Amino acid sequence: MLFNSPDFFVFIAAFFILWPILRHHNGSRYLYLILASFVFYGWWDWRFLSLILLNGIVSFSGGLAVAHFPRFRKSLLITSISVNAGILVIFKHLDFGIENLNWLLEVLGAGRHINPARLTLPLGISFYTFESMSYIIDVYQNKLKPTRNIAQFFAYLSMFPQLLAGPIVRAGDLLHQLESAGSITEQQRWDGLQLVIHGFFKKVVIADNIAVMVNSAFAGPVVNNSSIYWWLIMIMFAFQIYCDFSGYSDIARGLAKWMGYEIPLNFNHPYISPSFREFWTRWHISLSSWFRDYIYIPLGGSRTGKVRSFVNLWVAMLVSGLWHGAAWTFIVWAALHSFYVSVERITDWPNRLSCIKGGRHLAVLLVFLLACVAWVFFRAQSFTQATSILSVMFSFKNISWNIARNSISVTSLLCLSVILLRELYFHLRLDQTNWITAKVNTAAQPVIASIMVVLCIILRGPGEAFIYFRF
Amino acid sequence: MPEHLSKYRCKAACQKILRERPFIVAALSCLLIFAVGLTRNPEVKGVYEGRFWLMKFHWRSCADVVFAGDSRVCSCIHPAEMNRHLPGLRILNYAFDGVGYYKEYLEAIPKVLDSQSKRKIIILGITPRSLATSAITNDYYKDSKRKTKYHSNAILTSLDGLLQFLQPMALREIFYMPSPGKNQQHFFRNYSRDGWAGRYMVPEEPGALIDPYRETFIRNQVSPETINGLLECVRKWRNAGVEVYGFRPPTTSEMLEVERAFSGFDEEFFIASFQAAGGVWLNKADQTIYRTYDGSHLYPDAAEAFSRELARILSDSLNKKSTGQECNETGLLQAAMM
Repeated sequence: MLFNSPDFFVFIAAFFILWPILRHHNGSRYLYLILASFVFYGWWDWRFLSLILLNGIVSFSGGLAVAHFPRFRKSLLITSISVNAGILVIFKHLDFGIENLNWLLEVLGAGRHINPARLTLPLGISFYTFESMSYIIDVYQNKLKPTRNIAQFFAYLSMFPQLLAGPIVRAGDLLHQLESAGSITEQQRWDGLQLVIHGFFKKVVIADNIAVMVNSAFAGPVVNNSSIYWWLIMIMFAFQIYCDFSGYSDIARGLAKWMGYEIPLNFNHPYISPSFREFWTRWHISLSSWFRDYIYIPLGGSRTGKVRSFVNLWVAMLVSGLWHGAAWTFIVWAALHSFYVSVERITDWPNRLSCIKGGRHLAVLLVFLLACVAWVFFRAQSFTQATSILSVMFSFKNISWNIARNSISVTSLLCLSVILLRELYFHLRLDQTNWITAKVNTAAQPVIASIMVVLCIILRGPGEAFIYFRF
Repeated sequence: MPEHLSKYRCKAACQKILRERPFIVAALSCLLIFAVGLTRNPEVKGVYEGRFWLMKFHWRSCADVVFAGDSRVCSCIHPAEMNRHLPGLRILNYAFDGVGYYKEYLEAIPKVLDSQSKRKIIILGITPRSLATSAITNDYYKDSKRKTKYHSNAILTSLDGLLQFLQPMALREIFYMPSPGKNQQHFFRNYSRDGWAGRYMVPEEPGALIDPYRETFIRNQVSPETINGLLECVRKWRNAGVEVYGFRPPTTSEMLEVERAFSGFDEEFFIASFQAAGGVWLNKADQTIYRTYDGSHLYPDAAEAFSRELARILSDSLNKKSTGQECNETGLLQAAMM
């Protein structure tokens, strides 16, 4: 079920009618959450509920077994992770493997061809698999006591707000919250509502309107040979994916607040980062911290010498690329970011640049533009398309503004300006300035929220699924 | 509990709710939506645009006369206007923008006819584009098929007014109210429940579609397979007792010239084949006397005039047929019997 579909509004209204009644008792709370989450997920395709069930049963029983059989804890951990990661790899990466194998067979002249499996990618599989894996690893590392209540575990694993596109909530953050009904104050309801409204605004107004231009640019061969056009398209895509994904996270966090729970922040204005190291502490925080805690640090992190720390960094980033999608373009995207971070570590250029006047702003701009270059690989349909786009971008030909203006709609440009100004507002730290008194601020907030609701309705773009659903 | 205490509690509860910011946002949003709805540009009227095509797509066993064809038919056939000359007949405009006479669409047309109807009539609007291969790639018929069923739900039908209120607006529409006199183009649409789409542009662009059509026909000409499929259906429908008529929807002389020169459509040959298959060709002497807003589609008032004229011609033809007369008039009406 999409957050931006009419079905969801009916679903959520029905959910919150019964939630205040059923949330007070542990059993009814867990069962109601599981039931609602399964309806939410099964609305798309109920058959794939079996995968969540399998994933959950393996992790739940694995967690208990790891705690009860200390002698076999390592093999139990490996088995549990292998099953869950195996399911993920089969559904997500099997065809990518077959495609590469076919290429290899062709190069070797084996004369054989393996047909792709063409399996449907279950929605949210990457997210709930990583949640269940974090649970068993935390139990193994004695950071978490395994729950004995399977209903509580499934309420955590399948909790609908973050089920399809994150944030990847760790069991340590949510399981203990689920043990109680959670207090819901007026402030919490208000914060939740604001998050939901902001999330929808980012998704349906900004991302969906920008998507029209971006989708048409990437729909076929690279026809437009204007450098400024492609730079503009890439800047648009950077904000499209940011608004799309952070919009989903905001809605998820807002809904959780209404339920009485806290989900950690997933995006913290990533495009105002003056370095790539900071960028990765602001972009998809739940995923980057997952890779840091479960791949980078276990590999030795930065404690094992300079060269090894670079290797660890590249491994963690490349796996992150593969997590996003089974294509070489995603691996190149991840490799570019690994390269950016590596160069940054060696040269420390952001800090050096920040020493000069206006250097911090320049660093932010550079990081943003380099991120846009990497996004080309993330968004392109193929490697060939990506290289064609990059060659146009860096040819600096046809930089006349008129060419770009004629090809880009006013609505998309306006939406881009809105989000650019918003990020600039935070970059210049204007949010920390006391523009108005607290009293005026309190009175203005509901008015601003209402205006945003109306804008979400009348300026919504063509309904699109959230981008991260496909990951 | 004493009455005054109960009242006090009730009042306190109400005050508490009114102080809730989510409640204030909900109330304020409703007011703003209502205000925007009242001032919004009336470009779209009638049936909710998002569901107009779906409504047509789901029509089954509900008509005596069904018009089929592409956007030109959709714009020029006004069933309510035709009913003035053909009282008692349930007429529906089953045309879809961009549709071609491919198998799936042809199979759906007779399903709109009521099997209990005494006189079942199919009237095909023939344009070269509806017979060209390009029309088969993307159209509102296929688009409607892809959409989910709840869009055409009967409950939603009663919410048309509300949905119209909540419909997205283009930026130019938002700025329409404060500056209606500015040189901005507006596309007015009125979607009727009988399937007619009355549309026009302000300012009009009489030559807007001439070049795109020329380019389309250079790439995609009329397909003999599509014509054969259509004629096969005409035969089948005739054998099943359905009366089949054909006509060429009116357009501009420039467009006719483009169609003649580039589409590969041989009208005379087609009419002869259509008649040989059992169809009756309804022909107006001059197809170009009606005003179009884009070089192809008729203005609503022109559509009404054309519909009246066609209804008169059809009425004559039906009367002659019911009295057993052979119709071989020339001039204004050139209807040929099988």
